[in-house]
Parts: sequence; C-alpha cells; structure tokens
Amino acid sequence: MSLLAEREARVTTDALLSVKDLRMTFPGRRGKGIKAVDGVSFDLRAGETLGLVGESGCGKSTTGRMIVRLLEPTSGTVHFDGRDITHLDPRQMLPLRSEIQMIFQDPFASLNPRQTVQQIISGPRKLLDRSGVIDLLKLVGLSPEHIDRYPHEFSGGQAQRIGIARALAPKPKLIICDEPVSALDVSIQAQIVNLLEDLKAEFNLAYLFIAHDLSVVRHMCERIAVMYLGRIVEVGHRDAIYSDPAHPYTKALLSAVPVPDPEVEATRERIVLLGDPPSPAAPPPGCSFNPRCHKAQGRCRVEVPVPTVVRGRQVACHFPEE
Amino acid sequence: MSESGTVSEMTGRRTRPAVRPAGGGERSGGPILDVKDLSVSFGAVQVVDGVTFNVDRGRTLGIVGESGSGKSVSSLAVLGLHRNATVTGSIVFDGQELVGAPSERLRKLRGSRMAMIFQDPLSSLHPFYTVGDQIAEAYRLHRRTSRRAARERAVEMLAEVGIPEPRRRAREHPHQFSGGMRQRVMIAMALACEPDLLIADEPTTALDVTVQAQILELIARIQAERGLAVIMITHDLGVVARIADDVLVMYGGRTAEHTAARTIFKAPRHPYTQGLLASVPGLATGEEDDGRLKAIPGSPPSPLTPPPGCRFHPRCARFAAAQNPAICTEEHPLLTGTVHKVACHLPGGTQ
Amino acid sequence: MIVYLAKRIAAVVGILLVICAVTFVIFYVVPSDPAIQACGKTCTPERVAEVRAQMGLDKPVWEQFGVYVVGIFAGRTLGAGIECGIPCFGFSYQNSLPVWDLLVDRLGTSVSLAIGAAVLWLIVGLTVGIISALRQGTALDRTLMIATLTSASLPVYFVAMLLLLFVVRIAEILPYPAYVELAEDPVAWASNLILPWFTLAALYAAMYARLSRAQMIETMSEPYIRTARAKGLPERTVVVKHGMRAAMTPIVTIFGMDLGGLLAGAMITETVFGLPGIGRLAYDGIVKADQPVILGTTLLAAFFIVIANLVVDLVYAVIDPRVRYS
Repeated sequence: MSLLAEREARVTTDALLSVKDLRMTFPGRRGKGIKAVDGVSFDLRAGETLGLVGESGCGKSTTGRMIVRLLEPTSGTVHFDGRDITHLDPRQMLPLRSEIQMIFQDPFASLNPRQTVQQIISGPRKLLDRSGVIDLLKLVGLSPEHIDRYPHEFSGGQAQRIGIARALAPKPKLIICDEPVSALDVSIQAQIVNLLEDLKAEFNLAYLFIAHDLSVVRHMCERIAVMYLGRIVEVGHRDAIYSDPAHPYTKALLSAVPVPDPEVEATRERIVLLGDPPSPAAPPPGCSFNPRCHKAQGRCRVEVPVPTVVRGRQVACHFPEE
Repeated sequence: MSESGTVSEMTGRRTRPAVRPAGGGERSGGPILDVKDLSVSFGAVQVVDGVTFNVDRGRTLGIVGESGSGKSVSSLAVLGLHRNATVTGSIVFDGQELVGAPSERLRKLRGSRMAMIFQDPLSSLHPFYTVGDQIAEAYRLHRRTSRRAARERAVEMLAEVGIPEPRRRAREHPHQFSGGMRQRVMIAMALACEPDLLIADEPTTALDVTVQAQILELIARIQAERGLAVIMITHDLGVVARIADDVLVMYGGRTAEHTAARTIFKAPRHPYTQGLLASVPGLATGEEDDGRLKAIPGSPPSPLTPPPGCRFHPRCARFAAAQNPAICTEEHPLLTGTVHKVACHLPGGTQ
Repeated sequence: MIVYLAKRIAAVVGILLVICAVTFVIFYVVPSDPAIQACGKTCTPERVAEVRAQMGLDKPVWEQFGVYVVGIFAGRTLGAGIECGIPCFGFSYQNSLPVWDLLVDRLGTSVSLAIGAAVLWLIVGLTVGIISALRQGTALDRTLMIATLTSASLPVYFVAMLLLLFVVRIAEILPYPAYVELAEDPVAWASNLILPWFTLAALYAAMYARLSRAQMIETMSEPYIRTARAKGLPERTVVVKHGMRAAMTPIVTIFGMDLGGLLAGAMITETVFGLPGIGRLAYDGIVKADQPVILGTTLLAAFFIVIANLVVDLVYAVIDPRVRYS
C-alpha cells in the first residue's frame, strides 16, 4: 500500500494524465456485470508516449474511451493537468475537449462523409480559418488543394492524415491514439508512425498509444502497459518490457509475434498459449491469466496478484519470470 | 522440370509428402499447382496481370501484397470462384488444366482436392447451421457417404484441429465459438476431404497474436502430417517468415519478386520488397531504436488507374535516385532470373 | 422462455389498452354527438339528453372508458336492461347489433381474403424477387423490376376496376364477386374471391419481389456464400440451402405484420368488391361515426398485428439460432 501512496504523491506533481483505479462495468446477463476494465492505474507525463497493449477484449480501448469521456467510468478517477475530470458535466468538459483529442482506427468511419476536409478539420466550433487549415494540411503531409474534397476521395492513409489534422486543430496536449495504424496497408503504416513522431516532437504532445501491434508500440512508446482481461499486468520502460519481460503473459505475447526474418523464426523460443483469452463476463478467480499460464500454482487460482516492483517495472504476478 | 519449378528445386524440400490417401489419383512428378501467366480482369479493369507461380506438396508459398495487389483475386481464380471475371493464362492442378475447364469439373475439385480458408471466420461460416453440419456437408457431397458417417467425420475433424469436446461442439452454431475456435472450424471444414492444396487468405489477420500463433502452428502441423501444399496469402511479413518456403511479392496486380523465403528476407532485390522490409519496425532492442522508420512514400495504386510502365515507379526511391529513367515510366519490367526472379528495370543487389 | 412469454403477453394487453384509450380520446374530441344521431332527425333537446344518459355519454370520458374495458372482460348491462355478453364491445349505433357479433360474422370473409392473397403474393413475389436477384443486371431483371414498380404504384381500387372491367365485363370469365361461405360451396367461394385475391396480391407481390430481391442480392455477396462455393457445393444448393435460408428470414418479420394487419380487413379491396368483411365494417363505421364499431374494428386490427408480432418473434428464435430469448 505504501507503494501506491508513494506513486500517488509523485503523480500529482508531474503527470499530465493520471488514471487511478479506473473501472468500467457493463451490464451483463442476469444482473452480472461485465468488468471490461477492472482497476487500471497509470500516469502519463507531458510529451511522453505510453503504449497500452493487449488482445481484443482486454479493455484497452474502453480505457481510452473513459479518459476522453466517451464512456462514463463506473469508478476510479481521471486527473488531467492536476484537475479531477472524472465527473465533469459536458459543459465543464468543453474546454478540456480541445486539450485531449482522439485518433481512431478506421479513418473513414470517424470522418463525416458529408463534410469537406476544411469543415472536418476546423470542426463545429470553427477553430481555424482557411489558411489555418491549409497550414495543418501541409503539416500532416497533404496538399492544400485537398481542402475542399470529401473523405471518400482519399486513400486510407490520407484519410488517417485528415483524422490527425482534425485532432491537432484545437492544439491538444494529449492525443489518445486508438489503433491508429492497424487498418492501414503495411507501407502506409510507417508513414503514419513517422508523422505521429514528428508531430509529437514539434508540439510536445503526449500520446496514449493503444494498439495490438507490438512492434509498432515498441517503436513509438517510451513506456508500455500490458493489459489482460481488464487489468494492467505489467508496466514499465520499453526496453525492460521487450528484452526482459517479467510477466508470463508479456513473455508469451512477445514470443507469439512473428518476426520478418526466417532465420530468427526458425530458431527462437516460442510459447504458444493454449486456449483463448477468457471472457470478461466470467473471469477466472485469482489471477485472470492463471488458466493459460505455464507457471500457475495453487495461489494463482485464489489470490489476485498485487502490482509489485520487479527489476524496475511494475508486475502483477505471484511468480514473475526470472 | 519447368522453369517455374526451379525455385523450389534450388532451396530443397523440407517435407516430402508422406502417404497420399487412397483414391487421390496418380502422382505426377511436377508441382501440385502450376500457375502460368495468370491474368484476371473484371470488365475493362485488369486486377491480376501475368502472374506465375507453383506449389509443391508439403510446401508453403507465401503471397505478400497490400490492398489492390491482386493477391486474393489470384487465389480465388485458382479455385474458379470468380463470377463475371475473365481469367486467362494457365492453372494446372495435378496435371489438369483448370482455365477453360467445365465449371462442373472445377466444382468437384473444390472442397475435395483444393480448399480455402478466409480472413473473417465468423462471416465465412453460415450463421444458421451447426458447425458439425457445415463440416459434414462437403464431406458427404464429395465422398458420397451416409449422413451418419459424415457427422462422425465432422467430429473427428473438430478433434483434429484441437477443439475440446468435439461431439458437443459439433452441435453448436458459429456464434457460440471464439474467433480462434471459428478459424479452427474453418480449417476442419477445409481439410475434411483431405485436399492436396490449401489456400489460406489472411487466415490470422482478424485474430489476436497469441491465437494467430496457435493457428499458424496448427496449419504447419497438419501440413507436415499430410504433405499438404499451402498458399498463404498475407500482408504480414512476419507470418511469411514464420511459415513460408517460397515468397511471391505482388504489387499492383503484378509479380514484383519471387524466390525462396530466406532470400527475400536476406537479399531482396526489388525496391518495393526492400522498402516493405525496411518500413516494418522490429521487435528486438537495438533495432532502429529512436530513428524514423523508412517509409515508402505514396499509396498502392488502384487497379482502376494503374500508373504506366512499372507500377511501382511513382513510389520508387531507386527510380528517383536514377533521375527518373524513361524506361521505368514506359515499359513494364519483365520478370527475370531463374531462381531469384525480379521484375525491375533497376534491380538492386547481386544474384 | 416462460418468463419471456409472460412478459410479452402482458405487453400485448398493455398495448391494446393504450390503443383503446387513444381511439376513445380521438372519438371524444371529434365534434360529433352520437346521441343526436341515435335519436333521429326530429328530436327534442330533452330526448337527446335522455338518450345520452341511456348511452352513458353523460359520464366523464375516463369513466366511459372504464366501463368499456370492464365490459370486454365481464360483460355489462346497458340502460334499458339490455344484456351485453362477454366480450362486450357495445352495440352499433346504426343497427343496434352487438359489435362483437358483427365482427365474428365478418371475420371469415376477411380471413379468406387475406390468406388467399397472402399465398398468392408470397409465391409470385418471392419467385420474381429471387429470379431477379440471381439474374441481377440482365434484361429480365430490369423488366421484372419495372413491372413490380408499376404494380406497386397502381392504386388498389384502380387495379380492382381494371380486373372487373376486363375479366368480368369484357371477357366474362368470372361472375361479379359475391361472397360465398367456404363451407357452403368451396368452388364458388374460390371463384368469387379470385379477383379480390389478385387485387390485394398485386400490391404486396410487388413489394415482396423488391424486398426479396434486395435481401437475396445482399445475402449472395456474404462471405459464407463464398465459403459454400469453395466447398464445391452445386450452385443450386448454394442458392437454396445457404442463400435463401438466410435471405428469407427478415421477410418472415414483415410477412407476419402484413398478414396480421390484413386479417382484420382490407378496407379498400373489400369496399370495392362489396365483400362483407371487417374492413368494410370499419369503413361504414367511420362514415357513420359509429363509435363502438370503430373501436371494435380498431382493437381487432391492433390485436392481430400485436399477436402477429409476437408470433414472428417466437418463430425467429426457431429459424435464427443467434436469437435466444431469456
């Protein structure tokens, strides 16, 4: 507990975004709630990129949506710039909407097909005039002549650039990127990753980078939080997580990612997890990873592991990897 | 040995087929599937333009490409699944020419000797029928067995692809399965009649990475057991590196590069292949750590408006470096080389 | 399942009550005094007041409503000692007959008309729709779709007139329709209903053709149809077993609602052909401001539609395994 208190003290001083014990329970069948997010805490400094990785259903997107208040958290708090924004009403949120922006996975689904690029980027509050929009278009690598076109006239990569320009228009401090490159062609992904990195350097942006592609996350993020079934199982610096994973799930996840090198593929150790991730509607007792974990023992089936510091990162595991 | 067969000759076969099931016809010496100069067009739009490849029993060909590259269209053409498309060239399956063959003959091969699995297993399975019925359906049709025998076969196949409690699960509907389990059902369905060729069209793209690893493992295991020829269509270079013996890189409906998997990754010659490999961030510490990714500029071409000459030249760094030579904008580069085939006017590396 | 069913049936009763109340209020607001009409042309104001009291119209509207609803389940006794048996829907202002008897009397005609027409439009509509879908973009498809568009846009009374003119007057193939009970003479029953059946079916067949075409085209482009082909199934199996099964499911919903509505009378068709059905009864009731008849026919129509809806939902659980009620 002293660890948590220590963390809290630090968080309030320098974190841009501080999430504490955030929970989201969706109503399920027969009154049983589905715990999509079950006590997530992390903080993010200005100008930092935190990766939130995990498989489908682990709650990473739900977490992102709660931070921008597209979803109302069941409990827990979200502090932004030292201010509790968890329960602000829509009018109080309005000034903050410009400081926290979001980029979505499907660029076309998130752009209004009946609006021109200018209307999309300047937004309902007409934040920018025409020249301002043109400046932004240039910044995200589109040409000024695109300004009067409609979303369907663009390729997926270009549409995502428009989505990025829209997110930049209100000059945010934090952008929640929800799988921003996973719907794009491989050769386009690198363009968007580079663009996001350039913009971050130029505007001192902080990103919460939600993705399932571990190589992209490694490239983009300084710190990474691995989620499993609504909880963070390991969070720490990129190099610690990737070269020396402490949670058995992190290790299995990394070994499952195919590497584009047949020689590496032929020789590397591979942990193939059995079964599927369990449903958040019926989580196993104890550590939620225990049914798929090769190290699981009696204790793992009854006791939920509390995050502890192992080799410089936090791990929620009774028997972390050596 | 035909020229297109040499690729696999040079790299050596890892797994030769074990025993072919009875009734599978005569063993021919060549590859099980031999595609030459395949073109597919829909009306005036040519989506695939002169693609040549072959697959041997027990081997895996990876076809890599982005949207609009024609990788899925080519494989659907092999199974004769296109409607309203003009298919030209030659597709020889186990000695039989399929281009221009009566549709009834193709139909009898489909599902029995050539099978296919798709990207999204949920929408690829019929929502109203039990998975057992869906697996049994094709088996009963091709093998002319009783309903009971086909149902038994379905249960057996579900067990083989690693679905627990296969007898009970056979009576369930697709929506009652998880994503990974559905793809296992698809594989069970595809392999029920013991085909010689399995075409897998992005089979793991919709799946989580830990489940993807399971499915790739399963495909590799069954391939080794049965001596199955596999065509793995994917955009994921990692998947190709994990399971392919040979790789065909497609761009804008044409072959860019075609050779053994190890060569593609170690010594790519086509600027597109090189660009693709360079643009993917690595997983290990120390790789391009804080640098920028080497992105390929621009977007893949649309089949509606393909650029003239080499389809890749508008995005090609080597074309720009060579001061835009006219040959790249005017002439379609031919596929050259015997073992390592490249279609480029300015190929890099040495052979 | 039983809990679900109980909930649904309770909802049905609730919906019917609401419809009843709404109809009641509308009637109350309309400036027409049933007492004057019931009394006749030469009537003193005293006599009107007397009639009004006798009919219970002097009471507040909510009380009238309460009496009406209770009457349906318990029966009631009207002013002059007239017994109104269960279910009591009151008496027609025009001929003083119990509304329930009028409804029962005419239900056979409306049901005969609706079911015959439904069989006809399903056969024609679905056949045309599926053929059109499978031949999408061909001349046949375009011709059929123009035909359905024409058929759907012709008013019912116009189709009825055309049929009467050509079939009855010019060609003299059939007699002018006059309703005969099925039990009395099945052949005469059918031959007299042919024209009304075609008239009613013309409109619905066209709508169902367009609907089933759209459904079929959408289904045939689903990935599971591609899977069925990849399994090597013959095209007929692909279309019938895999395509139609899925494409026709949503049509069940619409069919249930349409049939439910028509069981309680096809007003225009019945009126044009002079068929003594519920629709005709409702039409006459509206023209004569006959409140009990309007209420009775409205409630019957609502009852059929709501019940059809419930049946459709239950059937859906059988045909689509993804739907489970709990």
